Amino acid sequence: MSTAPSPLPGPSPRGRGLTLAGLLLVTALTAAGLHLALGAVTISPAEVWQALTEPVPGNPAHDIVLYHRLPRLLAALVVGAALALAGGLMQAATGNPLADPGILGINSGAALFVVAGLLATPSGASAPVPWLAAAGALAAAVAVLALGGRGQDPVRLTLAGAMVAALCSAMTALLLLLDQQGLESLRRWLTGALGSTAGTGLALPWPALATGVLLAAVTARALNLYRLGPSVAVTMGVNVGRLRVASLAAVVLLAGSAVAMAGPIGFVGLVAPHAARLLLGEDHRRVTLVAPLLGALLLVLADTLARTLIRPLELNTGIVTALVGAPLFILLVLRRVR
Amino acid sequence: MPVWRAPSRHGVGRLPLVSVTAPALRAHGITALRGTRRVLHGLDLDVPAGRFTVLLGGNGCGKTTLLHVLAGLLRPQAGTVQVAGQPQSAYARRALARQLTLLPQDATAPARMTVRELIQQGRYPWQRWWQPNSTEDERAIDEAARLTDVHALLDEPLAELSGGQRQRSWIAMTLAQATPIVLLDEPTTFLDVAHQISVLTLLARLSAQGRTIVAVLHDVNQAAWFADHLVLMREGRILAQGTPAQVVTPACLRATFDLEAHVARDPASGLLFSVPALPARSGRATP
Repeated sequence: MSTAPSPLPGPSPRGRGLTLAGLLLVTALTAAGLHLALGAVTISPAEVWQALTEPVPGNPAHDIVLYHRLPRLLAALVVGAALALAGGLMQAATGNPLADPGILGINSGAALFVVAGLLATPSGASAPVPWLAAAGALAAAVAVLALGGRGQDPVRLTLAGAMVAALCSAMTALLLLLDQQGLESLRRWLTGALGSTAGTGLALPWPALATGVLLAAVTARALNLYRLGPSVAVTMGVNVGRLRVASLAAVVLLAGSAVAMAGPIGFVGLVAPHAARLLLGEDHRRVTLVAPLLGALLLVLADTLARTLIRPLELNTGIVTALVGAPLFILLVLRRVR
Repeated sequence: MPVWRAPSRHGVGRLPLVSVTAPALRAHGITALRGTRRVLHGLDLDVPAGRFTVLLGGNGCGKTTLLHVLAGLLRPQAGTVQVAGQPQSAYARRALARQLTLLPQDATAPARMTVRELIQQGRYPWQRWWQPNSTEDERAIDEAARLTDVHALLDEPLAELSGGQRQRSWIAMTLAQATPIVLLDEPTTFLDVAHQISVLTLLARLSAQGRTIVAVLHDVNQAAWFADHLVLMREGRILAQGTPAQVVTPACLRATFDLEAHVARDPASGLLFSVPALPARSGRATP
């Protein structure tokens, strides 16, 4: 059996964590700069800087940076962080290393409810997209947990998630077939499109996101124990029932918000927590701190790729994360099987 | 009246003084279900404080269920449990976790978790949310690692350890919890005989230092060698309890396991042991 690569050298886990956080911050800033500079039109770093610090109204390059790429960058950061946090919570709470809001059907459930809600809303009225997404995420999560059974069998849970995801996607496709006009506007959003938030400005579901982050922070320590088995958690004084409800609520709020902002984007929630554990070890508190940073970074990079690979056209961000994430998923499965 | 003093703030160093006559745990009239099956039938048990108590019995006799009821993992259908003289239900979760711990059989850890990270988890009931380790926490972790002899392995991932080392790491986690009462469900299963003896020696030493130990074991001889107090169970009831000399008898073993056995003392060590009375095998010459 191969040994896991030893975590980064450093004086102590704490010092190592700070060093890593610093490195991540620098990398994320660089990636953010690239995100703003690259795209259908390449804008020089100097001009990006000028657009951010002293924009000239009417300058087309400045307008692209400020009103097109900057909102999209912020959306990528927030969505990536939320998905990574949700994925880390799901992996800890289900004891399943393959858990991810995409793989376990949470994103598809949220997307189904959003599409159904939008189609049911009379034109002109605005639908409460974040709430629809959260309701869909909750419905999918409950269905997957019920199908997954009481025993913590990772295979059964993953299969249950795949089934719920397939069912929700099929029902979404059916709804879109019934309403041909809705199809065009929703098609892009459904493959995970950060671009769609750019036009409407940043209507972030802040209360849901903040509650999700708070719950994730509060449950981090107890989830460490939960991973050792529910009986160990109980004998250490953890209120297991409350822990389960709190982590489920956090996942639903975070994944729901992410879907409301950018449509279902897969694999970020799978990859970021694993990367955090490879770098910093198994303490879920550190995963909670670092995985969102990694998730934000990953999604910014994926979105930069999405906008440059076939320029001047754009790929959908969700397609890029799937192209990169699916092989990683297979790698994780193979490593576990071996 | 038993003398009982609350553990110090971080539960290290001093163990509460418990008078030897007062039971650490007292179960009264316990009836418990597993699913719909009744596993324990109005069971009474006093666990002596500061002693090593061993539960023995055939498969499915309710030993594990009894441990779970004592630890508060399973709510009994009827009956009460007292922990250090107070009703178990009067304890808050965290307060109970500072009083007793259970090492269950189904404990699992992520493969890449290190021994130190595992032992660290035992400090949960003593720490506040997001609080870094205090010197008391570090001392408890150190002491637990020293007692279980995993000091040299602290930064090893659990997956790289032998079965014996892994089991000792789990025991270290429960010791880091610094509870006066420690319950263990089959702590020697899956270990080779040398590691079984080393785990039991450790438990006997801990009880000599004042901790109350309750373990489920399967080996009658090991139970007879190490236990201060032996409890024989069958079909959800207690058949007999007492010192090994009182309980390890052909009559008791027959009643507990349906096993005919001879009981003798090793003349060299003075240890009690039992051997099953097997029918003579045909075709083999007896000397």
